[in-house]
This record gives sequence, structure tokens and C-alpha cells, in this order.
Amino acid sequence: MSTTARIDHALIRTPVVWPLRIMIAIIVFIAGLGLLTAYALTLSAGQLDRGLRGQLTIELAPDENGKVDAAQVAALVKDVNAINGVQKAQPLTLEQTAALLRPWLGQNALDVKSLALLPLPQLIDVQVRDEQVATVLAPLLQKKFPAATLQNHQLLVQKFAQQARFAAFGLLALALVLLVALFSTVSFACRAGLNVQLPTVALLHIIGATDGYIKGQMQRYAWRLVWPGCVLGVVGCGLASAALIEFVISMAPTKYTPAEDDFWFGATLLAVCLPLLAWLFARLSASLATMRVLRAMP
Amino acid sequence: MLTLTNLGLSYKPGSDVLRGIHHSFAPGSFTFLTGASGAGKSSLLRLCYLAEQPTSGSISLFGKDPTRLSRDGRAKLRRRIGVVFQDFRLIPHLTAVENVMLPLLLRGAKKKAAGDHARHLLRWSGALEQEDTYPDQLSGGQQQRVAIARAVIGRPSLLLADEPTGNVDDASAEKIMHLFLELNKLGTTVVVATHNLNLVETHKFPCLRLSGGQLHLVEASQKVAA
Repeated sequence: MSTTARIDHALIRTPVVWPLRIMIAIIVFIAGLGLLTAYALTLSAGQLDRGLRGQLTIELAPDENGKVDAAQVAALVKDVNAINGVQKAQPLTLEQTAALLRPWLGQNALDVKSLALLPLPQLIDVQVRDEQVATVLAPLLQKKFPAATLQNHQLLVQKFAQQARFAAFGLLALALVLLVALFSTVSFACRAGLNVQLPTVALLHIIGATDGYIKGQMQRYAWRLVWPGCVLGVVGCGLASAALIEFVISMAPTKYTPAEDDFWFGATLLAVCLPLLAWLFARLSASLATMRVLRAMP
Repeated sequence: MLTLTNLGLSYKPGSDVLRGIHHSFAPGSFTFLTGASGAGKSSLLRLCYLAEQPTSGSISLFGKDPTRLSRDGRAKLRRRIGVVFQDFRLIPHLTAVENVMLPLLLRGAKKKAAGDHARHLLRWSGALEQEDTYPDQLSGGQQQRVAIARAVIGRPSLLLADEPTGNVDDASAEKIMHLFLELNKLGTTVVVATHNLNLVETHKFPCLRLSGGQLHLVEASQKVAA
């Protein structure tokens, strides 16, 4: 005698189950990827913010002969170091300047000797304890060292961080829309399933099934509908995330890119949260759809 | 047991299916309900097993007014009623024994106990050999025996049968009636809505006739005419 678990499913599955599962997998995949990208962007913005916080750069332009006056550099460094709130100001060496140019000009394009022949500005790295130093430094440079310009990285970082957060919000909104789509899909499937199974629902109602029992059956049906799609979506999202992490972090690690562990933490959290969220949505949408039908029965 | 007071039902204004129905079904009684097609027999039974709400009047079931009960309360009241349908209404993807078990499972019974009880009732109704068979592989008579086993598995105090012999041959109809009689002897109140005048004639039980939306008690001498 076969009194298997399917007896608990007096309300049988509808034939559209697999296409719906694929649709759910796609929704979960895109929503997951969107959420993970939003997380990565927020992480990058924070990392860049931390990495460049308290850092200013002064550019001292060369004269008409293409040379920078060493005495002027020394005077500038001395004056800047004397400002309250400046931790340390020091000119960049030719080797350090070459390191900054190499990503654009190629590893072997420049050596220090040939760099010395170029009319490059002298860069002075300024570490500050107080971000307000820039407001004192800018007028000082204008007055005493007109050839010098101040590069405030903080402004750049703020702009980038703002854009990154804006993009992250956009992706979060997209993920939310997709989750609403998931909700609607499950709700639609449950209502369609209920309509197909209306005679069975009516029979269960007559033989004494409580609303809770019928609702429970539909919630199980909804979960059976959702979980394979959810697993497919999460696995797909995991693979895409792994590729993304491998590409973004391993290819060009810098002190401004977030740690790989941080990315994996977000990905793992998402892998746990997405199925939970899908389970919650399946229960809720099945419950709402079922109660709507049951309320029409006395 | 079941009291109908000034009961009325209409699906559209000005067209009453049932009106002014007064009747009380005594505990342990056996009653036939007859009437022409469309007279409202099924509608009256639907009101009795709380699948519909009356437009007027009231129903008292086991001394309770269902309209004063919560939805769960009404569901629990329905569990004290067994219903047999003309079209059997077995769930097609469940085997005979699984169909019979269902009322017990939705009350929270263990599968093993429910299965044992279901098989016991299938033996009683004469359908044990078909316990693992799906409804579409059963004859009309076999399906009705399974449906009767399902209707009585919860030990209902009231059994309502809507044309239970409508889709079965005469021999099966007599066997089904025999099952109802056995249940009645055990104290179950039985109401059988039927077209089958042979059954009404053969069994000497009170007969109610629905006509013009109203219920009339048919005297023994009038039964054939009913």
C-alpha cells in the first residue's frame, strides 16, 4: 500500500510547474547578482574612502625649462609640515612617480633616468590628521607658491562613493522589483493551481478541512514550486559571483579594492538569505492567494 | 440533530429555489428526500452540510447555529457530517485507501492508524480489493463504495447522500442502501436524496418531497407518486 507523502498533497501540482521554476530561477539569479553587485559597490566605495582618507597631493609645476626648483620644493614641504593638522608632507621620489605612471605607460616604458628628462611636475604627498587642512592649505599655496596646485582626493572619493552608492541603490531597487515579480509569480501559480483544483478544495472544505489545512497544503505546493528554481538561481548566482570575485580581486588587487573575504561573506550571506526570502515569499503569497479563494466559501 | 427553520435559498432575486422550509431530522432517523430534477434537493443538502448559506431562515446543526461559529468552528462541525455525492468526488490522484484516509489525516491522525481504519472500512463497504486502485480504474459502484467509506470514516452523526445510486446499476444501488441501513442501525441519522423510487418503495422510511421550493411529507400511499 502506498501511503506516501504525496497524500499530504491532496491539491496536486499544475502542469506549468517547470517553466515557472525556470522563471523563478532567472528571477533569483538576477536579483541575487544585483544584490551582490550592490554589496560589492558599497564595499568598494567604503574601501576607497578609507584608503584615501587623510591624503592630499600637491603638484608643483615645472618652470619654462621643464625643471622643478628643489629649493622651492623644500620650502613648500617645510611650510606645509608647519600647518596644524598635517601629519607629514614629503615629495615623491622619481621611482614613486614612475610607479604612478606605469599603469598608463606600461611596465617597461619608463625608467627613472628617462623620467628625469621629462618636464613632469613634482608631486608632494601630504598626510593629514584633519580633513579641514585643505581649507588652510589651498590659500597658502595660492599666495606663496602660485605654481603649485592642490589635489584633494577626498572630493574625488566622495563623488565616486556617491555614484557607487547611487548605483547600489539602483541595483537594490531592481532586486526589490524582481522579488515583487517572484511574489507575483508564486501568487499567480497558487491562484492558477487553486482554480484548477477548486473541486478538490471544495471537497476538502466539505469533509471538514480547516482553512489552515488547505492553506498549509498550498504553502507546501508553493514551496515545492519555488525551491528548485531558488536553488538553481542561487547556484547560478554563486558561480557568477565566484567568477566576478576572481576577476575583480585576483586580477588587480590594490589597497583600494575590498578584501576577498568580505566579498565571500556577502555572497554566503546572500546564499542563505535568498532561499529564506523565497520561502517566506512562497508562504506569504500562497497564504494570501488561498485565503482569497477560501473566503468565497462559507 | 438537524433543524431547518423557515429556510429559504435563492440564487437571484425573485427566483427562490427553496422557501419556508421547516423540518427537524430526529437523531437516528432515516429519511428519503425526493423531488423532480431541479426541485432543489441538492441545494437543500448543500445547505445542510454547510457548503452554502441560506438567504433566509436558519439551520441548527447538533444544537448549534453555524452562523455563530468561526470558520474553524464550522469546519469542525462539518466533520460530524458524512456526505456522499452522486458523482463520488474521489480525488483522482489518490488511491482508494488514500481517499478514504483523507478525512482522518486532515484531523491530524497518524498515517498508519488512518490507513488501518480506512482498510477496515473498505472491507466493510466491499471495496478492499481495490484499495490501491485509482478512482478512474474503478466502476461506478466501486467508486461509490469507496466514497461511502470516506464519508463514514470520521464516524459522522449525520450522513447526507445526494443521489448516491444515480450513477450505479440496480445491484450496486441495493448494496449501497444496505450500507446506509447498517449505519442507521448503528445510530447514524441518514438523509438520502434520490430519484430511485424503487428504493423509496422498498424501504419503509419517511419520505420528504421537494416541490415548488417547499418540503412536503409524503404519506406511504403516495410514495409511488412521489
